[in-house]
Amino acid sequence: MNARRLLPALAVLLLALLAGEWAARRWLQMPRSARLDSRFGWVQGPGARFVQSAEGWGEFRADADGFLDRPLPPPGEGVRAVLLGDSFGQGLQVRDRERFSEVAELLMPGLHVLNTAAAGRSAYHHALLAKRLQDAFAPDVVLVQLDDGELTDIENDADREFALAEFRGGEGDGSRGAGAKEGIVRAVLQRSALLSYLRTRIERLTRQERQRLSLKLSGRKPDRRDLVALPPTPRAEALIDSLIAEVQSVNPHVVLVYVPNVNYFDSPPRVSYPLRRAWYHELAQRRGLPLVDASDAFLESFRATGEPLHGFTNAQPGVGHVNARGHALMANELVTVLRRELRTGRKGP
Amino acid sequence: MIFSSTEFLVFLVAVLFLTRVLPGESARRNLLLVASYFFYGWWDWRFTFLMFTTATIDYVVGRYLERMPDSGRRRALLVASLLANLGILAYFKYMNFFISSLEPLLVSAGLTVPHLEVVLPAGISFFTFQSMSYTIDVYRRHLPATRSYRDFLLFVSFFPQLVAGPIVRASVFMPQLADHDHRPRADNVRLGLERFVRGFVKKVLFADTLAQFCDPVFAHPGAFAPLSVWLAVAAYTGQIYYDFSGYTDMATGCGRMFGFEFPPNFRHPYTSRSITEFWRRWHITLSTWLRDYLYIPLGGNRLGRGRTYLNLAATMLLGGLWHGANWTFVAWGAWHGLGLALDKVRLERFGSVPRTIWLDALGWASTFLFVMLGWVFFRAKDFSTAGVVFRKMAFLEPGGSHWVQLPATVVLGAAVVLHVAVVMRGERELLPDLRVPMHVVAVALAMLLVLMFSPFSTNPFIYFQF
Repeated sequence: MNARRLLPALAVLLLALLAGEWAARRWLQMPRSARLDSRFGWVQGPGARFVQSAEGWGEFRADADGFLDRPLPPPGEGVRAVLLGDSFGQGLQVRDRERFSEVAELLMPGLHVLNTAAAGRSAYHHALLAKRLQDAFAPDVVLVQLDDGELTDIENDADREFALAEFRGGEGDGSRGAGAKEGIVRAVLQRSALLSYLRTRIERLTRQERQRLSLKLSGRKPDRRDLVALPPTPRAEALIDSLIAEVQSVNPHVVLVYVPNVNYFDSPPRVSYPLRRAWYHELAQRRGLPLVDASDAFLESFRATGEPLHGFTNAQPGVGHVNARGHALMANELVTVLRRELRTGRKGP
Repeated sequence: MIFSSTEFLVFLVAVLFLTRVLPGESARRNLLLVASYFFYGWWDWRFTFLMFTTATIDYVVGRYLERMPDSGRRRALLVASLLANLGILAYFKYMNFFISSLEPLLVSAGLTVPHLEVVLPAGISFFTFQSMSYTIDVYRRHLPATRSYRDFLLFVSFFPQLVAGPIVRASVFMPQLADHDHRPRADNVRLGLERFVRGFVKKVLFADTLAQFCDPVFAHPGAFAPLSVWLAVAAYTGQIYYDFSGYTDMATGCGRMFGFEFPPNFRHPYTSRSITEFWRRWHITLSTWLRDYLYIPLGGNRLGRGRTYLNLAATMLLGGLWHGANWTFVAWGAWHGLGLALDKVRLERFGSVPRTIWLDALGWASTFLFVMLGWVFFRAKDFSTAGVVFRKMAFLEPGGSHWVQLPATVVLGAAVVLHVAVVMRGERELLPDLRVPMHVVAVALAMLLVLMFSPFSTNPFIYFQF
């Protein structure tokens, strides 16, 4: 094989890889920059750019603390809130300033929300993080985002261990970023967006294939039950209740934000998990907390427009995370609740 | 085992390695036979006995047919073999369809026939047709009966084309088995691998991405706006082509690795300018099978005009039913039968009109639209769903979500560009024009694209159900 044939091929390969790296940085995923902060658990590197492309598409920049949001103003300026939650609260599937926490800021001048929600977090995380956020930012209000799945996940002991490990404290920064003594290969692996993206995809594929093959070889049928459709167990109810109490003990001004779930394609469209939704209403009433629930607004909007409030153009309509329309409706409900609470003097400064 | 699964890739590498190191052609064929049964049994081992039974019947019948003089008994033996093959196919594939279809009649007569708990064996239509063609060819004395039972079992079960074609006839396969050494050679493996990767990309990048758009829309067509439904039907038009021709490429590539050449199954069908041309380019091994073993024996076009149309209709209706036990498939067959009949009328009346670019464009557009509308019957789970899709497409039911799935739309755009490129290049293959290092780079980049953008779904191939 002579160089005249080899060189053009190598040039094409190199150009293609460079184009892939550029495209990955621009649209798919930045190199991993998450670090384990001793106060706030897993956060991004300060000022890091973050691109999310798994469902919708979002591009965000981390603040100095590593949260993918703009920092709160100093105490005394308007109503200052922190948001605790999981991927639904974090809302990285929509664009910057389309998340309900940000739309609420636009709808209600003087409201400032620091979105500290992160994918995979549970009520255990919220209870552990509330005190640290209170100490660091002294918010007037704590928004706790919860969803139907939480009442199932809360019974998963691995979630509790995960939360405890993240906030064990005193471990210092366990940065996932590049170290000084790393080799060139390792540095390239860690700094290339393309390789980082491929790694994520290969990990996902490996997990999926391992699961499929283990089912195939064991002869078991995949469990397709919708566990979230089951009524919550007394244990799950008690756990969520006590963890919310924990957050309330740190800051009494707590607002629960319930993420609606709707079966858009049922005839007629309906709330997916009415039992769990009712339980959250009951919890809010019992604890004397306001609850933001946009389920009815979701149904009404869908009936009027035919456009689901979950799902994205690069995923499926009606399933997955809440889309920009849904975030706008949730923001409306949040602002309505906050205004009512402020009027009655129950919340805020 | 699905070609695009991890276990198949491990299986293929292992079989390639073992056939490479095994001494002697006989040992290699034994291995290919065992591997083929393992491949089929991976899905459900019980059905290996069914395939074995079908093949054994046709092997034994073939031997007798060769020895017997032409007589009524010889014909009876052929009919018995065909009835056995079609009986197995009817039981596993069509029994519940027949029961459902006759249910209103049976109920009115006071009879209740329970539906059977039957699992449809993967690829049963393919290996049954393949095996039947052997018996018919031996009966017609177009082909000598094979002496080797092992070779015949291998012909019926050869894993690359076992579950979704192409339908390789014994007259094509057996001489290759007899004449060639099937030890994998470097050049065959390289060419086979390229073909396999091409099919892999078609399946996991194109077909599976398009499926993400079609599936939700065909599940709830009433919930989507007319333009979204149009786009989903276009996406399905692409999906079924990439899914099936991807499988064919992978099968052909695998066969090539072991030194087998399979007949072409697709020749850019969506560039066709008439329905007749479409059927010369789409699922070629099935359309030629239906022509040679059904249409021509029925009389073809030799028995007058009326009989020609009748034969055409019968062939297309049965061809539709071959695809699946549902009246929607029969409707799809009827739709294409109608298209072929209209095309025959067109040829009779205007066949001598000289071709122009405008006539070609009109022919292409009308053929494409006709085929696309036909896919609605093929994809919809019942006539009621198909009805909603058609009403949406006719803008009779406005409203619904204006959903446009971005990856599927990008893939659809790429598919259009690729098809235009085919027309511009005059159907010449692109890869043979490139040097070997560029081949390697092309394959590597294709795999990179798959890794980056494939939806990683575990969709089986559409034609597995047939």
